[in-house]
This record gives sequence, C-alpha cells and structure tokens, in this order.
Amino acid sequence: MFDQSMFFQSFLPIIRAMPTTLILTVTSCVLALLGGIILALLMTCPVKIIRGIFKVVSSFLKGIPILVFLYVFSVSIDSVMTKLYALFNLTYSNRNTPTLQFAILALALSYIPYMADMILSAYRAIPNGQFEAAEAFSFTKSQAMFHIIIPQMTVIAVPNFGNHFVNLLKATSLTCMVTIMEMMGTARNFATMNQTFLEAYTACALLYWLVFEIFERLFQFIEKKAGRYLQPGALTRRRFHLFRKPARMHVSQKQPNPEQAL
Amino acid sequence: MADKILEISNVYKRFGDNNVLNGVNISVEKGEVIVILGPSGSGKTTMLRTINFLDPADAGEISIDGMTVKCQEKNKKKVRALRQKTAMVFQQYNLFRNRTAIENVMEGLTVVKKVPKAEAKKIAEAALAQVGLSDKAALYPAQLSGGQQQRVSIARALVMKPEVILFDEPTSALDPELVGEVLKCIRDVAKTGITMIIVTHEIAFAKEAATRVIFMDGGVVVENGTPDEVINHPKTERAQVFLERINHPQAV
Repeated sequence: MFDQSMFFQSFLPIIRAMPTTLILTVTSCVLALLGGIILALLMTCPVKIIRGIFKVVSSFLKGIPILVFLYVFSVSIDSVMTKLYALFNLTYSNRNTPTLQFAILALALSYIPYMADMILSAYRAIPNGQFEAAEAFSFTKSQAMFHIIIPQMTVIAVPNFGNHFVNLLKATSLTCMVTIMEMMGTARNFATMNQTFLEAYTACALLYWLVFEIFERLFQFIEKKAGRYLQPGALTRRRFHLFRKPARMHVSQKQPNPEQAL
Repeated sequence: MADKILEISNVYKRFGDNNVLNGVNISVEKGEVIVILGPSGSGKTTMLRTINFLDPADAGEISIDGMTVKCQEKNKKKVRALRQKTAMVFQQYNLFRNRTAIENVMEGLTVVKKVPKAEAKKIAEAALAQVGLSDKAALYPAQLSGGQQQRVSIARALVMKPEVILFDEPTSALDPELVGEVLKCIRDVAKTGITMIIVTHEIAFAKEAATRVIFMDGGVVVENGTPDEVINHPKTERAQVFLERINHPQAV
C-alpha cells in the first residue's frame, strides 16, 4: 500500500531538515580538506619515520566504518566534554550536548585520508616540466607552488573532490543513528509517528537525489570552467558531446543527393 | 675583443655509476651563438642543465657575467642569483599550462622580477610580436601547436633579459614541418646579439647560424671551433664518424 497523500506530506519536514544535512556536509568536507592537506604534507615529510607513522594513521582512518566513528564519538562525548570543561574550571551540563559538532568531527575524520590521497595524486599528476620551468626561471619553491603548481593541482582535484563531497553528503544520513535530526533522521521520525515508512523513505530518497544532482552539476560546472586549459579546444567542447551522433553524419544526411538534384 | 660572459670550468657530473661529464671547459664571449653537437649520451643536455643548476654538477665552477658559483654551492640565494642571468628553452616547451601565452611570458617578470603587471604586459606583448604570435596571446598552451608553444617559450626566455639563453634541443619534439618556424625564430633572436647556447641535431642550422660549434663526446669537449672547422673539417675521428652519419644517413 502506498499512501500518496502521506508521501507528499513527508516532503515538508524532510525539506526543513535539509539545512542540517548541508551544514554537516559542508563543514565536515571543509574540515576533511584541511586535515587532508596536513596529512598529505605529513605523508610526504622528508623524515622517514613521520612519513611511516602517518601512512599507518591514514590506513587506520580509512579502515574504520563511519558508523563506528559516530558511535565511539557519541558515547564518549560526555566524558570528553566534562574533562574539557574542567580544564577551564567550568562545569559541563549534558543538557546541551554538542552532538552535531562531534558528528561533524567523525565524518571529517573518516574522510581525511581520502582528501590526502586526492591531494597527493593531484600533485603527482603534474608533469615534471612544470616544476623545472619554474625552477629554471628562478622561482622560489613557494612561488612555484602558489603560482604554478597549486592552481594546476586544484583543477586536477576538482572531479575527485566532487565525488568525495557527494559521498559525504550521503554519509551524513548515518548521523541519524546518533540522534541528529538531519534529512534521514527526520524521515525516520515522521515515518514512525505516522506508520508510513515506505512513503517517507521514498520522499527522503528523492530529496537526497535532488541535493546530489545540484552539487553534481555545480562541480561539473566548476570542472569545466577551471579545467578549460588542459585540453585543446575545450573552451567550446562539452564532454557529453562524445555520446551524441557525430556532427558529420548530420551534414551528410542533410546534403541532397547530387544525382537526385539533377 | 668581446667580453667573456660565461665560463664553465672543470665540470664533473655523475649519475650513479655513470660519469656523464668528465671535466668540461667552455668559455663563451658576449654575443656568441654556440651550437653543441654530439651523439646522444655525450652529456650535451646535462652540461646545459648544470649551467643553470637544474642538475647541479658534482665539481667545477660556473661563472656568468662576472659572478662565479661553485657547482657544489648549496646556498639557494646564490644559485638563484646566477640562474637569473640565464633563461632556458626546453625540448618539451614546458609552458605553464594554467597560463595563457601572454601570461606565460609575463609570469617570470611579475613573480620573480616584481615588475608591475601593466608594464610586464607591455613587455610581453612586444616579445610575442617579436616571435610573431601577437594574435595568439590569449590562448592556452594546449591550444597552440608545438611550434607556437616553442616560440612562446622563446619569448618567455627573452623578456627575462638574460645574459645567456640556453636551448635544450628546441626542435627535437616538433613535427618536421614546424621545425622551420622555430629555427627562424631562434635565428631572428640571434641577430639581436644575445648570447646563446644551443644543443641541437640540426646540422644545417648550426652551419648557418652558429658563430662557434662545440662537439662533445663521452662527457668532454672534443672539438671546438668555427662551424666550418668542426662540421666540414673535423679533426678527431669520433667527430668525423658522427658527422659522416648525420650528413649521409643512407651510408649507415
């Protein structure tokens, strides 16, 4: 049984929870990126021991499911916060628990190694000649990085970053398991209250898809804008033209048969 | 007498077990166009790259325009100061991919020499006009042909007002059709009196444009003289064999 009116009624509460989902996604993504930059630097540190340690850290963070992070964090919030408050001689009350902040931290933490990998692969994708040219023209290391290398890395990393972003967006739905009322949590609540599970979850799915689509297009747009110099003729070309019929065929079809014309 | 602008003395370089340079001595006077010939593996490119410390040599001294730096020098400031007296044109052009043609030419001026943008733009426009690419100023390297990219990279080297321009096989990565335009461009630049060192396999170009030809083999200078002396009347057997092969490839 699919109750259509309940299906449509489910939309409003879930839409109201969208900002929470977006806050979770954007802040944890930014944090993960910052952490990723630091981890990438540590993983390429000239000191072998530090490099080794942080490669293990990276693998450790990658190996743990986000849900486990969320559970571990949520059960340790109170004790951590009490200790933290004690440092500043304050008393912590568990009435306004910073669950959201901890969830953001958990999400960010599990994405830090992926961001670091993204940065490292972008760095490695830059041809040696770019470094050499900068060096030969007497650029300092930092001048070369900021004027030549990082702008190119950014372009290379955009598609990857977009993937991580939308994956994080979907991963935020897990935070409903630690009582955060984002889209998924709200949908589940609404469903339980009205006993209309399929309706609420379907509405939720559609809304996730909508948000996903918006960001997917945004990143495609950025990719096209930013990366136009990497391909010849890319200023006018779009990728999906590859899947259309070649233009030549249209021309030949439209051309009148010379024999018939006679 | 012309002034001595570049002096390479006793340069040694090894990669692992491979001794690439075994005591190279070259001295160059202002305004000379020097073409370096030699079989592959003879150390031509390495020699060029030791001059601007892209591959610092293991021993020896480089002196440009009165400034002498030991090859083992680790002080980055000194190396950079010496480097600024040179500019390099690479085999693979190595234009900055994220910059348009004109931005490529401006980049060294604005970033390294701290020239104001407006002024750098004027200088860059003039340089692009000199290599005949004024109409391509707004295009990215990926939108230019190999020959055009190489000309932009020559313009990029010119605007730095170096004492000497180093060309590392500037035409080796080009289609045969495009070699001509780049060689013409180099020839035109040579006429302006700037000192150049060119590693190339273009014998005809060497004959016509060089003021001096150096033949290298086994990491040392084997022959050093006018184009006519070295190319038409080589004294050493090694140079004779090499030039014979290049001049008459069918004889191989």
